[in-house]
Amino acid sequence: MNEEEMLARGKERRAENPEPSLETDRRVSISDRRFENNRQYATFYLDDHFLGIEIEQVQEVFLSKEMTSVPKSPASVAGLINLRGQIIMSIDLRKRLGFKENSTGEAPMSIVVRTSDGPVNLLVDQIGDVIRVRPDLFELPPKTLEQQLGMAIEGVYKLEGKLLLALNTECAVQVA
Amino acid sequence: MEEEDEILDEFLVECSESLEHLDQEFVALEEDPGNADLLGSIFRAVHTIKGTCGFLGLPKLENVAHGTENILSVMRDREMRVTSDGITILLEAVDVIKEILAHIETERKEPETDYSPMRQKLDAFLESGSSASESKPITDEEALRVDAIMKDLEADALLNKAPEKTRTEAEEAASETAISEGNKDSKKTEARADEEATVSPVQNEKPVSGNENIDKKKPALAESAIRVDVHLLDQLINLVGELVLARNQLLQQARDQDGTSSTKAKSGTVQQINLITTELQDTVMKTRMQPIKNVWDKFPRMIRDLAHANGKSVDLVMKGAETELDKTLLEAIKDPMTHIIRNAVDHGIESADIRREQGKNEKGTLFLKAFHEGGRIVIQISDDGAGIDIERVKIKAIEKELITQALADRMSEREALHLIFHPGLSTAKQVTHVSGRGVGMDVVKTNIEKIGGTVSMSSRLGEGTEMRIEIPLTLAIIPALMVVSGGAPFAIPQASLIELVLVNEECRQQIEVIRGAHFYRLRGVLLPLIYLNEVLGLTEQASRAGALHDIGINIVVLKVNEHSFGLVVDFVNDSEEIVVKPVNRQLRSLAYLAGATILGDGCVALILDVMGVAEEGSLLGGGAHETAMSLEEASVVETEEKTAAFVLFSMNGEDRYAVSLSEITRLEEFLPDRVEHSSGQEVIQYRDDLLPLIHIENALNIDMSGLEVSEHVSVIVCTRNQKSVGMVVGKIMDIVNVPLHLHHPSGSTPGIRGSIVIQEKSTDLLDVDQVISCVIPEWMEETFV
Repeated sequence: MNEEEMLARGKERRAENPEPSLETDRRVSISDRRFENNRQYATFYLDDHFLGIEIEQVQEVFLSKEMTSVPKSPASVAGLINLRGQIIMSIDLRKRLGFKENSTGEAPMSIVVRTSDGPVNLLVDQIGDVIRVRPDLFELPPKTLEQQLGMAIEGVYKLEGKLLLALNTECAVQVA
Repeated sequence: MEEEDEILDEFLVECSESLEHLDQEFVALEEDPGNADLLGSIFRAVHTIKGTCGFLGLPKLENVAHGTENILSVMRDREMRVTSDGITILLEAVDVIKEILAHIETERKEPETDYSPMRQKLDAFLESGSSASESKPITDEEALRVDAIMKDLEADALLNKAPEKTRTEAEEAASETAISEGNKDSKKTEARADEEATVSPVQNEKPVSGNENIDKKKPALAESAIRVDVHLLDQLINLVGELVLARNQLLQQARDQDGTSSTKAKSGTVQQINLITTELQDTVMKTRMQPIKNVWDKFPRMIRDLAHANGKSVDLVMKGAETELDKTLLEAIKDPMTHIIRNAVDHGIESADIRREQGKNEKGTLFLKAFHEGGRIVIQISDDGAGIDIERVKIKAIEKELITQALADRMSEREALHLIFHPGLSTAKQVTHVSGRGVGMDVVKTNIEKIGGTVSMSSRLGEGTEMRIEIPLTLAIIPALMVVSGGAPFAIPQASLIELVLVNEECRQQIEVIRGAHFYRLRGVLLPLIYLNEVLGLTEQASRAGALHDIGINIVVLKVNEHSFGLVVDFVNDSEEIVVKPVNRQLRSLAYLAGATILGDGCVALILDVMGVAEEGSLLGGGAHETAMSLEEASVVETEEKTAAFVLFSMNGEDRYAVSLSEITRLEEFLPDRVEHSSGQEVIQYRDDLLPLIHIENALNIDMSGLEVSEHVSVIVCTRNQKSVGMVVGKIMDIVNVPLHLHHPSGSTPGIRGSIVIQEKSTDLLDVDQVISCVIPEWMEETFV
């Protein structure tokens, strides 16, 4: 897939989910100064859930490429990819967080995050926008949350009409 | 604060560099006490350390350095003689300086320990020494040299007056020159002194002519070398690796489009890029290369101390110190080499008295030699010491239940010698404080194998021991065999590869199954098989059944820890030079995985850890490797159930004899006119050597009258302890695989084990060693030449 196609695809996605991002963006632009301490999240979708990774931890995003699977590795390890000469482990975030397998047949997107262990590639369904969130919307993970998911997120931002699950990347990249 | 840290770091790096040289310079000075240049160089190094630590506020370090400098200064002024005692105390002081520096490096401050006793010791020595010694008359030439050094020091003094910040820099430059001077000089002289020169390294350092030499070199060297962070170099190498990949793809594209006019011009550019990339790759790889001298440099001091402690006298001869290898490898061989050298000085070389008794030179010699051979670096460490008593090694190994008596008897000299590498075996009569605790050689072996190298040794009792270490040129790039299994590519490091076997449909029956475990008969020995796709649980199960139909079974014969096994894969591709890349820490627990590499098309391939694969296939640890051993034995020793391969032959055309295939080396036929006579022995020119021929009919009481005259001489070649003989037989008939049902003879004939039924006929099974021993009594003795 070339660059144009990718751009087109990105646009399509945005058209599908225009609401939350535009809304939050607008809010930010009005009150930029007041929310200087607001965190920025790169958002993505898993199944019908809306998740985010703090922008500082994201190295790059691209359409997932061919992977070499690693036999006998934990189930959530999708394989190894070659990222400009560096060999990087890919994690199937659906499996890691206990979602059911993707049945749409669409190729996943890759988000490469920086961790204390070097870069790790996370496979997600779709990429959303970069948004700013206000700290007062934050809440720790509800206790009733499935442990597999609850352990891997820092907490929940209660956005309008939607919840943003803030991923704890250091925890999410632990596969064993 | 940060700036201060930086200055401190620089100081530490600089000190460690000068200290490295100090050790050997001291040792060289002891050999050549009159060498004023050497003394000057030592003095400058200590002076720099003293000066800088005063500036950085390190009083304890300064105190010791100052005491050292005082002694050096009177020595330099010829008011005190350079004696062995003096050197010893100075070396002691250098050790203290090192200790303090190591502490500063980790803790960022001086240690709590009180070092004033050392200073007092130095001062006391200075007092006693300078009063006792008479000053020696100074010759003209020496005066000139001393003069040169004084000038040098004056320059130093001038620098000291400069403002503080620049002072460190200037001094750094000065000290760097002092150090590198040595390097340059030794490089120059090396060309001449290379051949077998006794390299107490500093002996090389004698300047060609005293005076101008020192002055001239200073500016040039300071400008031509810079310090670069190793991580930066690593990054550079990574990037170049990437460039190489991109270049390969570009070349591929250019080849695909060839012919159209618009690409003509382009292909020129592509060629250019190709050339530049290759050159860039070579050059960048060179930045990581360092001469092995950097590791060897610490040995003269170590050997001096060891020899002194043991009352021995040892000369060190180094050859090929300029041989370069990758920095990481250099680090990796440091400890193993140190251990081997310790062993050599501690156990190998005898004390002076014993050497004299045995008519050897009182001074023992230790040779270090490094050179390139077949794309690898070979390091030889040999001594002219006592050598290794193989019988004692065997006895020790039996005592510790590492081997059985029967196995010991059958072991070749080489095999027995390599027992030394077995964990928990030490033959040192006496445990000393440096070595001989029974750990060590196995660690040496594992460490060297870890970097893809090999160790082997040879030894002659009373004459010495030689260790041979072979390591790859660089760690980052290794030769590997590319295979495919279950649809995925894998790389197998060439180091553990023995051979490749393709089993086609006809030979299918050579794969035996015992309770689900597969074995292949490889030249009469059962080779355990591991199916890679099964071990790794790969989904495509095609290989066992599918691949067999088209092309047969690909067996990659691998060797781990003296045990061989066959790895079954779907396809075997080319052998390639691959770049080893690390994988995520979380994947390192996978035993079979040694790393990953990027193939020419940009895909990732996993590199197999051969030992790990064997473990996954439960070959090691469990009973499997024992089975491999006992099976091998089974073909030789009388067992009831197993089958074995035999060579069938006849002596006079009527009789039938068999020998076990595992006991012989080759079958040959020669024309009768090639048989020659040498000192009463029939010999034949065979593989650049003379092969003695023996006739066994007399030993076996065979009537040869019925033999038809054939146009060939049939010979069975047997090899033991690296010596071969050829048994002349009447006619070689067949090679068969039969169950080993041995009928013991009633009246045992020497040389006959018993009879077996082969092809429905009774056949005598020969005991090859016994038969040959009948003709050549010294056959089984290891001294047999």
